[in-house]
Amino acid sequence: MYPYRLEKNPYPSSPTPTLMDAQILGGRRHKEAKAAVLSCFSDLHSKVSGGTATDKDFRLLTVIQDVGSGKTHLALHIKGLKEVANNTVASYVDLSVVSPRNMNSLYGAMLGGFTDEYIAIIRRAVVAYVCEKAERDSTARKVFNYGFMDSISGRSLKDKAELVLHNGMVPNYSALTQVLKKEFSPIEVTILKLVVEGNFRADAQNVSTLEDIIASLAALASLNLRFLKRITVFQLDEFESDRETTEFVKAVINAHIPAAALMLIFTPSSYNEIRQANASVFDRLEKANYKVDLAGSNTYEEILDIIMEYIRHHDAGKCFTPEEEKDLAAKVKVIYDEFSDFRNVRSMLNIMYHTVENSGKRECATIDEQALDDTIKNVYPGLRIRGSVMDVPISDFIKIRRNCNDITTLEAGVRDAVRNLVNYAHEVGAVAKPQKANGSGFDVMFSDPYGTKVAVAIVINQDHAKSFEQISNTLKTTGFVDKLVILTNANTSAGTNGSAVVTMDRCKMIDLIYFSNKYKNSELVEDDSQRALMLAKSIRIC
Amino acid sequence: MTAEEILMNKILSAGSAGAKKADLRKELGEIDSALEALVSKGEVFIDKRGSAYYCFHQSHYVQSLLNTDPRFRLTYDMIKSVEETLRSSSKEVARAIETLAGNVSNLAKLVSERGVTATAHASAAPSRTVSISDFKGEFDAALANSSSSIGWVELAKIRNDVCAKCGLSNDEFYRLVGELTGQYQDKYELSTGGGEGVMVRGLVHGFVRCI
Repeated sequence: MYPYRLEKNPYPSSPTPTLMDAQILGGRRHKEAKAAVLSCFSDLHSKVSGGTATDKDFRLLTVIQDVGSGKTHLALHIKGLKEVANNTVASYVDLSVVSPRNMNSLYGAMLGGFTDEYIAIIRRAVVAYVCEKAERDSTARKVFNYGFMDSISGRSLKDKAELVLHNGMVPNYSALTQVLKKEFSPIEVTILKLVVEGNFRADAQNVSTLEDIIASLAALASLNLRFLKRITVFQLDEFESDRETTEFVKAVINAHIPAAALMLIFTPSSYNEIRQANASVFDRLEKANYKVDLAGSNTYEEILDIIMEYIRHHDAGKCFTPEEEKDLAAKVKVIYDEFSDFRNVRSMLNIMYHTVENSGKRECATIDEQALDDTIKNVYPGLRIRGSVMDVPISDFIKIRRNCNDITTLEAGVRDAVRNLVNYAHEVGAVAKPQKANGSGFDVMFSDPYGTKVAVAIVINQDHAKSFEQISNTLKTTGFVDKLVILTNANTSAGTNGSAVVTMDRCKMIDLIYFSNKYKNSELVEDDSQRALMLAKSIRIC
Repeated sequence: MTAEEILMNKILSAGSAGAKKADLRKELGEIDSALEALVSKGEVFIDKRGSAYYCFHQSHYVQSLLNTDPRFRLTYDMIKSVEETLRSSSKEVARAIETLAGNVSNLAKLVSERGVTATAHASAAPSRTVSISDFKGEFDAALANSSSSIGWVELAKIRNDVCAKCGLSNDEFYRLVGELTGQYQDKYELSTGGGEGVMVRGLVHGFVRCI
């Protein structure tokens, strides 16, 4: 059993999305991008729904975003949508696997990008069309070799058509050509014959020039509209600036294939390279009908929503409670804030996959800090909390950070930690025994090895203006001691010869609290001793 | 020609073998006063060889001693070798001094050039006095000016503008970009690629856009 009562790990384990993974789409920006693409398809479909299309009925879409931000996921998700499937026929091509790249291999890849399901559907539609013709046309009947024996044995044309579809008989291709050429162009006839033959993708071998390829693509789009009432979408992923691909794409754009949409997916870097390599193609890309924007795809809100979407999708019983969602969001926030390396969808999903696996193995009801800690240690062994002197484990870091969201708790924790740190420094002989600081306005007082009387004051507030005032007041009381150290969360450089104002970041405060917890529980080991003294030095108390 | 000159020529013509005083007297007659004068001037040396006195011109006397006195020859050789050592050492010292002088001159030139550059920088924009908020202002302005239709801009382009305005080095610029994009995660977005940029996840991120 996985956490949150899930029956399976909802997160994908592959580094790039598969069609199955892409069924789930989360994130406001990704959903907005999806809506923009769907609107484009819907608009184009409405224009050609009458069955006729002109060169005005061509659309160019670009999706430009950084690697790992969900472009491919979006493309595959759209391709797999039922509502899209009703209106479109989509061919998804990952250009990174097309090598060598030339017009034939690119065309072959585009034909390969259509699903087997589509090929079966169009085959059935074409056979049904010929079958219908055969009811009235004797030449068409020859396609199915329908004769007297068939009629007296009670076998209908539909039965024969089914036989063709199930490869139970070979149709008469010569008759098929005769029937089709009355209504279709030679290129369309060639494609239709290949469709009936069940060898649709072999058309890549029939073309020899770029002109042939463009004509074939146009014929294909036209046939899809005619037989399926759908527009044709070509999705070219990992579009790059190499000469063959850009020239091919330029030709496709220039052809204005009726009832078709070309969706180009690439990175800002590729876009820039195309600008430098081929101004003509760049100009066409600049004039794209839809520039799908995934801006902010790596923001916390976006990534969090995507993470939650996977759980929601797999939460059949709708048992994922708002409290659990809030708890998980807080943990994700820590990971997002502390590890800039994970600030993208792909990396975060990878973390979540391993975390869920870990929690599942330990039979945890929720994703806990330990699971995150183990995951980061195992999957990214080199990662550490930035700037942590005490080398705080990620699990403790998350716990402490969450506990310290309240500023009062944080202040109390840090005050307690500094007292403990001075006590520890005394125990190891770094400073003299701390004195009672009751009523002096300071939090800790002690003498350093040279007899200098040192006082430490902690000033932590949500409102930094309040901290500045407090620091200013504390600085006026330096007469009691030789040296005053003010530890604050406010960013200030105040201080004089006899005093020092040390600004502590969140990491430093967590370091202190972590040390304090270990000190109180007598869990300090040899390594911690050096670290603790370094921590004390970093806040100028020894 | 005076008697002294005649005597001098006679002694000189004898070479390093020297002219026997008795032979000179036999040939020239009374020579004592002239010889004394030449000895007092240091032009002639008189040396006793066996039972006879020989006169040597100053230019031949050392050679005569070298030929006849082994101790003198040894001493002379030693002095010569010391002289040789001194001469070569002097040459090396002279060369070293020359190199040093060249280096000092180059160093002085370099220091003075740096001083001029530093002064120029200081007068254009004080180095590393750009706060993150000031940098943000300049960065945003440059980003807005160079923005493309898709929003993404090469960081190198922005660097040119911002560094020229603020007098920042490339390293300092990218350090500030890293700080800025980290601080305002919801405002800026980085993308991989480009010839230069900010390093994230081991990848150069050379493109930026405002969200």
